[in-house]
Amino acid sequence: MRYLIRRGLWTVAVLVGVSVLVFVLVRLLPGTIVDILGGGEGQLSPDQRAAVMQQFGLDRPLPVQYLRWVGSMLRGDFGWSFRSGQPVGGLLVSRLPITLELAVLSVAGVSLVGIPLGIVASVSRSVRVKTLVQVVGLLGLSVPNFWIAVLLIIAASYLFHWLPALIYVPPWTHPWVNLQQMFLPVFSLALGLAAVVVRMTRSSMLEVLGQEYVKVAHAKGLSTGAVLLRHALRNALIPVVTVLGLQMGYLLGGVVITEQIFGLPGLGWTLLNGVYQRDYPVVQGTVLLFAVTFVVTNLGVDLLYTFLDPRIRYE
Amino acid sequence: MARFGSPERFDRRTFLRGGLALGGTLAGLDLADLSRAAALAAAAGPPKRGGTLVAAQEVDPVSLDPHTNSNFSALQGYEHIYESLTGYDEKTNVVPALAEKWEISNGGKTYTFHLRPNVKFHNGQTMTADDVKYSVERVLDPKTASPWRDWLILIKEIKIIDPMTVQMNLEGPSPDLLGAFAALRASAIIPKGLADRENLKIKAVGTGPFKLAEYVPQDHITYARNADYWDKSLPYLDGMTFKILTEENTRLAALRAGQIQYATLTAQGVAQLENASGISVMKAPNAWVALHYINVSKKPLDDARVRRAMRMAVDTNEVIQKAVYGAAVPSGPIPTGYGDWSLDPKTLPYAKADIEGAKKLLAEAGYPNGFRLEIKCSPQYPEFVASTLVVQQSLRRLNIDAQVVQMEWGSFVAAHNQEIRTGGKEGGEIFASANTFRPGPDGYIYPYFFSKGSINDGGYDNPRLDPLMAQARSITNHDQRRSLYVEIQRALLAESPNWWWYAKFNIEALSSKLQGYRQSFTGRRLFLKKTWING
Amino acid sequence: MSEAPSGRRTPRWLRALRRNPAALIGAAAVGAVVCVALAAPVLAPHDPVAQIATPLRPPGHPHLGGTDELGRDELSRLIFGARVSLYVGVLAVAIALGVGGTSGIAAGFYGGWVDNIAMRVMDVLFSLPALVLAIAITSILGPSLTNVMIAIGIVYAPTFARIARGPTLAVVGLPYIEAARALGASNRIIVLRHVLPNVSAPLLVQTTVSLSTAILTEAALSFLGLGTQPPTASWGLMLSAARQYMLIDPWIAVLPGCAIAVTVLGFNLLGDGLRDLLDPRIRTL
Repeated sequence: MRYLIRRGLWTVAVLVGVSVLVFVLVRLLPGTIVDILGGGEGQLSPDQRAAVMQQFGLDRPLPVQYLRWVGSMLRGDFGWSFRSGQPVGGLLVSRLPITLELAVLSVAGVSLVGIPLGIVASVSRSVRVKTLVQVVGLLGLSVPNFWIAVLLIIAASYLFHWLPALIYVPPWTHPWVNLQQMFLPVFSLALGLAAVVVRMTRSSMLEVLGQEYVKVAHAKGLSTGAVLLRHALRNALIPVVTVLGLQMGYLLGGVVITEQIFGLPGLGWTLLNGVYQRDYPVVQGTVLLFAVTFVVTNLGVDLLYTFLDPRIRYE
Repeated sequence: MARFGSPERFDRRTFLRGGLALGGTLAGLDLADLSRAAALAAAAGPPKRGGTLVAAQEVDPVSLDPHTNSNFSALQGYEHIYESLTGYDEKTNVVPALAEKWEISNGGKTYTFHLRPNVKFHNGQTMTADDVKYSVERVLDPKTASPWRDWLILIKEIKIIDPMTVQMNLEGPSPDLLGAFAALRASAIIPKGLADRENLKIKAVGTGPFKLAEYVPQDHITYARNADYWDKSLPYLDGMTFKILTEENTRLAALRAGQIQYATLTAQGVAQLENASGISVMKAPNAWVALHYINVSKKPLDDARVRRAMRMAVDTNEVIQKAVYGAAVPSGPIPTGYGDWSLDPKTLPYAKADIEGAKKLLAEAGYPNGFRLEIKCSPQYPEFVASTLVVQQSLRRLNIDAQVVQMEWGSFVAAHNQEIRTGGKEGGEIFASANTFRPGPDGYIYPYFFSKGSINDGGYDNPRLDPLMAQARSITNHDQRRSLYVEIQRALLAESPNWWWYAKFNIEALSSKLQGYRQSFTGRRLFLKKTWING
Repeated sequence: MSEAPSGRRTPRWLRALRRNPAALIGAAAVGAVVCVALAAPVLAPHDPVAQIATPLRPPGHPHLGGTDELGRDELSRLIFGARVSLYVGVLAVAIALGVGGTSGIAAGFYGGWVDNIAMRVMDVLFSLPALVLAIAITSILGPSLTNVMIAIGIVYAPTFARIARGPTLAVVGLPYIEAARALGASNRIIVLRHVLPNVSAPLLVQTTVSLSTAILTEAALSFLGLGTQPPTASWGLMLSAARQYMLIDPWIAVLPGCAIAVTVLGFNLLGDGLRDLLDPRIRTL
């Protein structure tokens, strides 16, 4: 219990750090919403520019802007997009499911395929099998996922004359259509992830299988299968789970480009677009949401540890 | 009133010379397509009501506010919903829209508009002079921060004569004013007080042929037919959905799979369609002039000989081939095809690269060993990056080391704005960009090259041209204006305060089932309201 | 186990390599790429940025790799692209290793609140999506290859910190460290003699892994137009430009992709092999 409280406090510190960092970073970007509104062809006169700055509260001193933002967040108001005028909170809520679905499906699909492959690579006695699994597994990681995405689109449409429905449909409305829409993006995302999972599973299985207690189990007469399942796998999964947690970063990065290519209105593309448009509230809100997700995932991972390894307990 | 050229009347020989110069593969870009549209139209049969068009939009509109947007994609988003006092026809002539007729008096300083009666907004209320006054005043209000306010800036007073009559008094004559309304960048008529009640960025209430059904930013925008549209026979479609697909490969895939019936493509995209069945492609020049803005306050760019020499070193057709895969024609300051305002591309200078002449000129100006400079561009528009690379390559032959600086769009715009605001002292030297449609020739000239123009890069000041520019924008005699603009353009081409390259083709791919669509020189989808679906 | 005729046993690393041909493949690939990069000016038949020929020619004579969309020699660009990829990878990872590794060691070594602060700072950096952070840094610092490397380096530093911290903590907690300190060993000696050897293996493995992902990140940044500056030949930039021509001239899309794949795959396989080699806890059945 004390552990959770301490964790909670540090989490808050991290989130505050993130909020300050994103607040500063986004304002360091050259150009402001005024430049974006003026665009490449129109021009805003000085009085128009001043009006825009005032409208968005950008003429106040920085600490004031920061405190106003944090204050309104604590009241549940996440600000309004400079560009679309929509409330940021609502925007995030509508976009989160898409990115979440992409991430979850990628992790699930990859685990279903990658973990068994990793086990095979670690256990198999055939050097050829091991090499093959390694190389094939890593191939997915070795190719930029945007390239794979574009290739998949071209292949699907050119060879199969098929493309899923264009306008995003949530899974609770039309699960089958939704799965069709998610298939190509998840596939291109998961390829990169698969390699990591395969490699991680393989190496941590190797590590565990070399441990004393596994040898003891063998000596006790347990079959290889039982050894694998009951003793090795659980412990081997710890680093795998860690890595999957860390891969949130990769996922969120890969998600950005994948969403753009497939035209999915998710958080990644929202964030990138916010950066491009100097839409401070959107960028700040989305990054905070990512940070919260990351922190929650980490916590979940740590709690998963206690389940997987009874030796780990938190004081 | 100004007259504009039509796509069909465009000079084919010029197209050929512009497009095929380098002899590369130009699959799909053949002249037959230009007349194919006309042939198809003839065979179509009578218009049919009904059906929903599914289309791709290549850039997110971001905001649908018809008065505050500078990006062309916003215009593409709201142009079906809103209208103004005047509009354009297929030949880009100004025609009545929400104003049935008008009188110009008082030496061009007073416009009296007689509004069309019984025009209903999408919320049911009837349009009156109050709405017109409110809309125009909103654009002029500095708090609205409309980037196109300059087009209407000469309006100093709006008087309501009666509910159907509006009078506007100007500071001085503005021969392009009617075009400024028709261009719809900052002239949509909205219900009085609407901006205070609604968030116009994602909600829209206009008088146009389509109502806004739904706008989900970055995803899609859906329109529904306006049953009470003042032109009773239009539109034919029941609705339209534009899905935002920024990646061209995805647009092509959707076209091939039959998921969408309309998309705007690049020439490379068309070549990859490889005559897919059921899709026809329309191409016509449009008002998109690719250019480089030059900061004329920075040495050595302050010397016209240097700028001219650099321009001479670059082969225009090579730029066209590599930047837009051949789908453009050479152009001067006013895009080729803009009525009789633009110069005949056959008579444009710099048709072929002249390295020897350029070297001589450069030496004469005092830079025989070249110099170093930076050219900024943004990957937001890959064609400008490509054209800049061609320029860089060509300048090497003059010993000029041109660094290409590719910047993210926001940074690019910020740098350019900084350069303009500081009179050229900071921000950069050369910027790759384009000019889209302007309501008249003045929009391509005055703001940039008049000594006190609002977007003058580096303070270009030509005492001989200044009075000509001021005069050309205030007289109404078409022929007199025309000869002034010809003279101004020729002078500008010689002085090269910008480098102008080409007028790009507007390439639109449509399902063969779509009938009645016409391209517009403005680059907008003006005639989707006249489009119907066959079968 | 083969025995060399001279009677000496085959060294451990050779045995490991033979058991793990994947690592051998990796080493070979990396070696090839490094050689190509080093020999680029000699190897490349043409200037990689000069537009000298008709665009979009398929492979053949005299351009063995064909030409790209601006008429530049594809083969020369592929060769020089190796330079950019390795340059970006090596420098970015060096920054990440330097900044991150040092922070991680410091965190583990001093422990206590230093550790907590350092790890929270790393957490903060972790929670920002890597690609977007890289984009932001590049936009702020200005577009240049060096800034791209700095951006990628900053984005990767937290990973290195985390990797360095674990073994450092483990070592510092051991009783003989206290003994050494009691005997008057300075911090510097402790770090050099005891911490570094324990930390170097995982850091080395992570270095090879990060080298591979740095190349991919540069490709992603170039895809968005925010990485390498044209006309410099970088594989990522070549891929990005080729997007528009994929069915017109597939070669300019395929060749850089293969180059990236081979290089990244090589680093990954090498990394795996190194991990197998250096981690004493790994045994095969």
